[in-house]
Amino acid sequence: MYSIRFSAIAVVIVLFFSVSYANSLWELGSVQSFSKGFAVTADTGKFDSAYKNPACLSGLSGNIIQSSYAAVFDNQAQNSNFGFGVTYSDLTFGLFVPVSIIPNIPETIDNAGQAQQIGSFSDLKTSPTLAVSKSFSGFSAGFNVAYLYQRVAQHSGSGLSFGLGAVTTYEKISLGASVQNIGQLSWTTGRKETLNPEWSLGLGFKALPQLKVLAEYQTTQDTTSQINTGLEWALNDSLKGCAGVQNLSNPQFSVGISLDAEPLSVDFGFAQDKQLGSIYKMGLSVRNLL
Amino acid sequence: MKWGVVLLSFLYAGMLCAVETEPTLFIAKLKSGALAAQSSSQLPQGINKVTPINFSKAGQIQAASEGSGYLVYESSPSANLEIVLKILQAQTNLEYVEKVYPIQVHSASNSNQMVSTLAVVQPLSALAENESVLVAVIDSGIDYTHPDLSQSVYQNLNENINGKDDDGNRFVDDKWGYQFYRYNPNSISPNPIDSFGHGTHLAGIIGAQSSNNTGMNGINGHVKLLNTSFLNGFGYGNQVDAAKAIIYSVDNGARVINCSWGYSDYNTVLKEAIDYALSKGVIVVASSGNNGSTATQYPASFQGVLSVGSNKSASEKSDFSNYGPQLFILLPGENVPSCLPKNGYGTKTGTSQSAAMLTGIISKMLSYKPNLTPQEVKSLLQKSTQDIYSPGRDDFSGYGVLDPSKLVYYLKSASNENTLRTTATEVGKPLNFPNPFGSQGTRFGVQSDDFGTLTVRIFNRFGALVQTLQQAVNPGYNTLFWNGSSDSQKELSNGTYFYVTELSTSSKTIVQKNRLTILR
Repeated sequence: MYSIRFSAIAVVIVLFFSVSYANSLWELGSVQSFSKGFAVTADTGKFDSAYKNPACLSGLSGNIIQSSYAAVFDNQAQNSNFGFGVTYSDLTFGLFVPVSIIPNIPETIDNAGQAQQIGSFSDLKTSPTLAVSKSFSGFSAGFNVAYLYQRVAQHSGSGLSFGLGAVTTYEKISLGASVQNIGQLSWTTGRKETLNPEWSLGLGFKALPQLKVLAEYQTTQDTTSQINTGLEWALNDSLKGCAGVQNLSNPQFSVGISLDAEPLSVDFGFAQDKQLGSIYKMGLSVRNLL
Repeated sequence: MKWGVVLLSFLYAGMLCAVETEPTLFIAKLKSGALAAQSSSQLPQGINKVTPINFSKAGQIQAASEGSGYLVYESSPSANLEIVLKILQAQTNLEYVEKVYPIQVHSASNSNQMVSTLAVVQPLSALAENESVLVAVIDSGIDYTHPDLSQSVYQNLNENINGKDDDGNRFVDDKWGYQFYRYNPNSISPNPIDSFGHGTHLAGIIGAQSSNNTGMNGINGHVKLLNTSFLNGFGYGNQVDAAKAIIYSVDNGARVINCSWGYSDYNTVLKEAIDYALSKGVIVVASSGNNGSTATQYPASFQGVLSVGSNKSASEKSDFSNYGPQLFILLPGENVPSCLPKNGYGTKTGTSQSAAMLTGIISKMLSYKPNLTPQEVKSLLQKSTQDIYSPGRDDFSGYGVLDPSKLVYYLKSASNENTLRTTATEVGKPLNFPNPFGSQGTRFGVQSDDFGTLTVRIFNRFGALVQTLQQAVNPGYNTLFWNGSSDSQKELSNGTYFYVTELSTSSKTIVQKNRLTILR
């Protein structure tokens, strides 16, 4: 038993230090993980957390349909998502279709040394993702594959990305790791972009029966590393509050609330970025409808 | 070498003697309606001579013979000055009696710092000289025969050199200005030509002719310099003569007065003369002093006087430059090139030179816009500085180092003649171009109505900061280039990024958001 756990931890650590790539659209979808500062790599048994760590799909019982909408940075961008998850034996499958659109981007030219706007265009990005997670004794491992598509002005890019994740639990502590953004994007301009690897190592601690504390270290190749923290507080069986801090060194505070009335669950999240403005996220989940 | 040292020693001793052998003077103000003691039999004990001041047409310092005014007492060489002062203070017809304080030019040793007046002159050349402005150089005189100054020095066309007061202004032969050193209304004043060199140097900075294709260009090539001398051939004088010179300058129409000298104490009569000048709308510029300390110097420390210190670089004051709460601004004062007597040119160092620069600049402002009030002049100068040391005004730099380019902009703005490029773009609202952009990079274009700083922060789609750019901006349209890389100089991927611009000027900060797209 212990050897399996040690193996799981070893897998987690190996995953963390491996260089791999995944699509980072996890920020586009889940409401609850957003409310928890995205510190959800070790947030086991949460469909919401599967955006970031496919292994977290394990623990889902039955099936779930989820949709969400977000107005980002004072509505400069809008994100929406559709998700479906189902468990079959020790395997859990998830399908996510996040879509992000940034409309009305100024199209400008250089007119004698000054900007002249000649129109506007949109940036649409989507990445339908299929994820699968398998439970082992004491730990779970997951895998996802995403089809990437992005359209900017008259050009588009497409490609595939992969991600891996694992999570293990020991008494009140859970440990998770994921790597995402393994892949490449090819543009109609002829450019090929290797995606940025993004890897995360997370810790969860159930401090009280109704309180879970989360923390994770996250890093990518082209941006600075960051530490995220979050917590989830179950006020009663149907109401829970979430709070989080994304990136402690340049903190973005987020809060959220979830109302669970079987089979429906409604989520709301809010954050205020001091530079870019507010983010509102709303989500609706239906369990075992199918 | 040895003989040189001996010769220098003699010269120095001679200079000291010239100072030491000056009789001690006392200045007294008569009570209103009181009569002055006129005959030698009525002179107080220890006093050799008394001279009523009688020179002003309109100044507050009135002639003693008119029933109120001032008396200058000259003590006898053997007199005990403390006793003499007590005796004078016991005179019932006197309002006050003070020992007359000396004055010394604010010169320092040349340094290794090289200063070009071009940095000041060139930006100001954008200002048309619409009107000639009379500037009083109250100093050691001006060599008005210097080829770069002969057309700049004010010439009184109503006066001839003939031993008579042709124009009836009570000053005989003041054709090329007037010499107030040891002024005696009963004798003809010596020629006010400069032998010391200090005044000629200041005159060149302010107004060496710019259209004669010779020598150098002064800050205002069309200024008229009123040659008002009161310092001797060693750069020494006293405050009573200075007061006389100031009032003479005001009464003869000077709009700016340059005082590149001072002393740590002041006579009431000097303050009254300065107040008189200020009350007539004359702008008084004075050097802050060369002690490198907070020591006060007068007239620089009088309220209303523009006290000028020296800077040795764009961000540092000169070591010798006095500082303190009276300091207004800094201008270059080290190794400043200018005219010297007998057709010469050379460099001099000191806050004297800084003050002359400001005097020249103010004369240029008034030439360009003659209706500027002293308060408007001060306000324009104040906001045309480059702030150094502590933000805002501080005692080391005043409001900072004067930036002539800013001054030109503000002056032209004040005249609604701003020739800087403007667009219909809203101030502070950013727009990058081209957009989308590829390997050629993009420029953030921002309209500014003032000098300031533009900061651009670029975030990826998820709000992570990927790049911060910053540069100074001028009034008008500004652009800031970005090549599309992160702060670690890695090429960023295609897609849309958010950016936040922060335009900070002295009066406001404008923050705006927008989007840009990289498409390589």
